[in-house]
Amino acid sequence: MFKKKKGFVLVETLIVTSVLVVALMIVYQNYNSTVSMEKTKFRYDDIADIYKTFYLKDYLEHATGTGKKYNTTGIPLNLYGLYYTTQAANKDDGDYVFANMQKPKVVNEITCKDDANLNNLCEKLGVEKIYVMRYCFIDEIKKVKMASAISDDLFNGDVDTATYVLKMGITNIKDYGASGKAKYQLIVKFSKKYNDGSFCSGDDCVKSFASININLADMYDWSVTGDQGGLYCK
Amino acid sequence: MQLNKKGVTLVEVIVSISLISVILLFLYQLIATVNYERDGQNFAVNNQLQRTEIIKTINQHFIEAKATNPKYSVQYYTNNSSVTINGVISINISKNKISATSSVNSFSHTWNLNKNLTYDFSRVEVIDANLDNCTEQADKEIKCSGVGEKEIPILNGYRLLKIRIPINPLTIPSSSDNNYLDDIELTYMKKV
Repeated sequence: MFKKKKGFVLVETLIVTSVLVVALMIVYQNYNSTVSMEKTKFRYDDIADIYKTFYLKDYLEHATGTGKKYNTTGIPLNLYGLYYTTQAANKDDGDYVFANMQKPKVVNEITCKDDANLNNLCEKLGVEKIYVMRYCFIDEIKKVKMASAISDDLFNGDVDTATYVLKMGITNIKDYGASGKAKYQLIVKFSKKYNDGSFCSGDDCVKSFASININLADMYDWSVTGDQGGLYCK
Repeated sequence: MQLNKKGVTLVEVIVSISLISVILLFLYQLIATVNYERDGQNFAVNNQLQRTEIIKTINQHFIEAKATNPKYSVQYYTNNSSVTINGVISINISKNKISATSSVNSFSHTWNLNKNLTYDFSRVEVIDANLDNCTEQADKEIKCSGVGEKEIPILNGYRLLKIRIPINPLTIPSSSDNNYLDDIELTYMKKV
């Protein structure tokens, strides 16, 4: 006669418990990462940041060491991030917005650290990155192509800025400007900087973005070099 | 006579309850954190319109003001704090109100804050280019001291001042944990 055995053997209990523990750990980890992502906040075109961007644009357009708007070769002195004045002949195509007019880059980064004065201003305004993006008239066909072309590669792996550009539809602006000249957009990324020089990330970090139209074409004396390839949309 | 063997033993009950308690503790912590973050952002969203108006109005006056007197001062009182720029633009911050006035430029604006929010007037930051007046403490709290009339320092040919007015939802204590998405941030920058 069989004796009816109720309950679980030890092995069954251990297996069930370990499976439950693993499942709960996975769930906890996922929730933890979700909460952590919630703490990294992004702010687009906040009014406070727009004013800071306006002031930065004013500085880039006007602040020069000699008090002149242009240097002797016609390049705005303070926009050195767009024009490398050293080893010009060794630079690859596309490194220049103005120097190589055949292949102007869509996005150029102005590096704060390239100039002590600009670096000071970047620190005071909380600027992490400055980009100048060239955009042109986008018809319905090109809009799709441009959208796919806005990748983090354009922004040197800066996914957050690429996301901002796509979400704000900056590339969808249909504006030729006077005489079909290309327009440029100054894009600024703000975030808190720690004492060790690194920028915040993760918990309680706010990354802000703002952009403003910058009329480089109107500032540049195109007659000096005679090359106007970067002036018009292609 | 057969014994009734239905039910659970005491040990089984205690073990089950303790296991469930541990799981619930984790869940409660996660939910509390998400709720905290959500509350902070809700206040920021609801206050967005007034915040935008305040920043835009005052910044526009900064831009339009002539820098005839490039000085500023900051005073902290028991019930309010006061920032004066160029000797003519005065921003007064109390617990529930911000006012911006100028006798020279003839404007006067007053904004009364949403009843669930307060301005932390004791922690108003006015930072000049030399990073004077405000320092970050070990617990990340910002402490600022008042400044009598002082010339706005020059940075790269510009006079620069940053003003930040923290806003605290009543349900969230005034601390570095309070998100600053809704804080008032003003920038004054004038070419010398």
